[in-house]
Amino acid sequence: MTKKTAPKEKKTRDLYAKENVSYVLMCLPVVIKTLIFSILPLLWIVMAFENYKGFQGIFGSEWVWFKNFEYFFRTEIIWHVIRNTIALNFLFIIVGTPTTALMAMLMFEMKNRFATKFFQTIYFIPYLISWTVAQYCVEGILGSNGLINSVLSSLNLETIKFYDASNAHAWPWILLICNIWKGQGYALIMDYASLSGMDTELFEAAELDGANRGQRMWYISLPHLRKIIAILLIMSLGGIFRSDFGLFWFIPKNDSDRALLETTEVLDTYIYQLSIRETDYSAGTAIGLVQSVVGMVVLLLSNKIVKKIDKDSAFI
Amino acid sequence: MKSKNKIGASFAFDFFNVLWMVLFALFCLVPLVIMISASFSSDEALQNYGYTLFVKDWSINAYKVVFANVNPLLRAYGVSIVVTGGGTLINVFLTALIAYPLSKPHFKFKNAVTIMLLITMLFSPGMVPTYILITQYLKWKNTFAVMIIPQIGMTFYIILLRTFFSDIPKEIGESAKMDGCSAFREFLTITVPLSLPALATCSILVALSYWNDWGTAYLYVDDNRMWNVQMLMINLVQQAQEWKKNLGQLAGNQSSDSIVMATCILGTLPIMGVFMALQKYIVKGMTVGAVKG
Repeated sequence: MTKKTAPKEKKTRDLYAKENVSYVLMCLPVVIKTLIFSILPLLWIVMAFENYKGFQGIFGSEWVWFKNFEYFFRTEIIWHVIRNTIALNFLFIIVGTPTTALMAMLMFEMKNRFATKFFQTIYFIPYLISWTVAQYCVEGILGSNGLINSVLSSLNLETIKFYDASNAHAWPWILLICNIWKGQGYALIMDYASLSGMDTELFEAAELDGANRGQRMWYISLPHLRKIIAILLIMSLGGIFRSDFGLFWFIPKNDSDRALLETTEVLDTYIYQLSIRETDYSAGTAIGLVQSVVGMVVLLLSNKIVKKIDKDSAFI
Repeated sequence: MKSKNKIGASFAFDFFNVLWMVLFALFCLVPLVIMISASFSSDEALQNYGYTLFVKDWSINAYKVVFANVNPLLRAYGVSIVVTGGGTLINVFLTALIAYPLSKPHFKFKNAVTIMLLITMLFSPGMVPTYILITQYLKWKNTFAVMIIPQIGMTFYIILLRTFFSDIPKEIGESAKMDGCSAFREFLTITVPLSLPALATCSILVALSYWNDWGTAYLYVDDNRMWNVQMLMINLVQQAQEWKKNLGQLAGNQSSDSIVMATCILGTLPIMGVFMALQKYIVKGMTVGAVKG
């Protein structure tokens, strides 16, 4: 018996060794790309600790250590940018997660396959439209001669200047609606796909036992969605310091008018303005570093918490 | 009696369920309807009556203006098509190429590569360091490379494909190997043909992100001959005014909203078409990646 298997094992081992060489070659392109674009730029993070001047180069510039961070946490604007970033992200998560789950479950209750497909397609269409195009649609609704104002003026009511600084307080809600409009279709597919992988026997058994559809959703569908909700939640918590740049840059016209900064400026747009437009690279890198560190800590922490509550739902 | 109540409740549930779905569908479509109706309205109507859901004063002048000045649009289409087509092909191929070894339990460096990918997901160098690298060291401003390469091999798609590949029965590959089939040939002749739905899902999503990628062009393209469709969209208001001026149509400070909307529609149609053609794969492919990923 052993005599027979030994050569075969050796053959497999040789094969594996040969295969490992091909495997390494297959990984190489993406590994090299990742090293250049995600690992190598980590070097330039030292800019956060110097007063970077382009002509002096990255290692020739003056070292200022934590001055950039100090300066920057002392200015008042940063706190309000941080507040906007966190508050808006929380708003998106708190409203988005349950509505998506609920809609996925409702859609799953719709047994007509054609109807499900139809609605899924419609809901996905806004996801195909980039913010650069969407800004004109939003203006068509909120602008001075937009849909809302043309209805108001035809009713002889006073029009609303949505893009005026005096209405900045309305913008978190407007951004929330825009975010749902564009993202719901995609998020829905994630949840729905998870539901369609579910065992249908459970559903049938519940039906025989006389469970109504509300109970079915609450006791069967929702627990099934737990894992995907946890994963998506961890991911969005990890991004709590980041934002969908296009949404915050184009929709409130922060690229041109900049009248609504008070409630719509977030860290990403702030970094862009500061470093790319005003070419203060050191400050931009410093804020970016804070953003990355906080993001990583929050992601690992929330992963740990989820792991404690439900081991299977954790991400890493 | 009881069961009758139940049927009634079930009917009410269905009714409100469908009603809600329809209302949400209208919410998704209203901005598009406004876009379409504005593009077929005359600028005077838009200025006098504002934007409406239904066209008040039909006019195809907007499309006439765009087609009379079609060169910038065609050029932008060209750039976007090269980037989206070429980029998607290269990107999905290389993503599948790295996902394949990662689906093999006996791959020696599996953990090392996975950890590297996880690090890039956990910690990003930020916008500025990448900007410095690309503009000052690689000098990639205004190139196709910058629009294609940085997006290659995103962790999400690697995980999605890896999960799909590891579900392929091992026996198929094993028997081919015993016949002397190399790893690369197994990948091309067995894994890829068996994974077409997952590859299609990735392709659509990757193509969409290339087509809608305004961020890269915004940062790294300042030569308007290398503008993609999105850059044209960003600068659309000035462009539309210029196009009108070229035709001698500009009177006073009249707006050119209808031209803006017409160009928006023309810029979105191609990716919309690709999506409609391939959309049946989206749910299918996501099921695999999302549930087990």
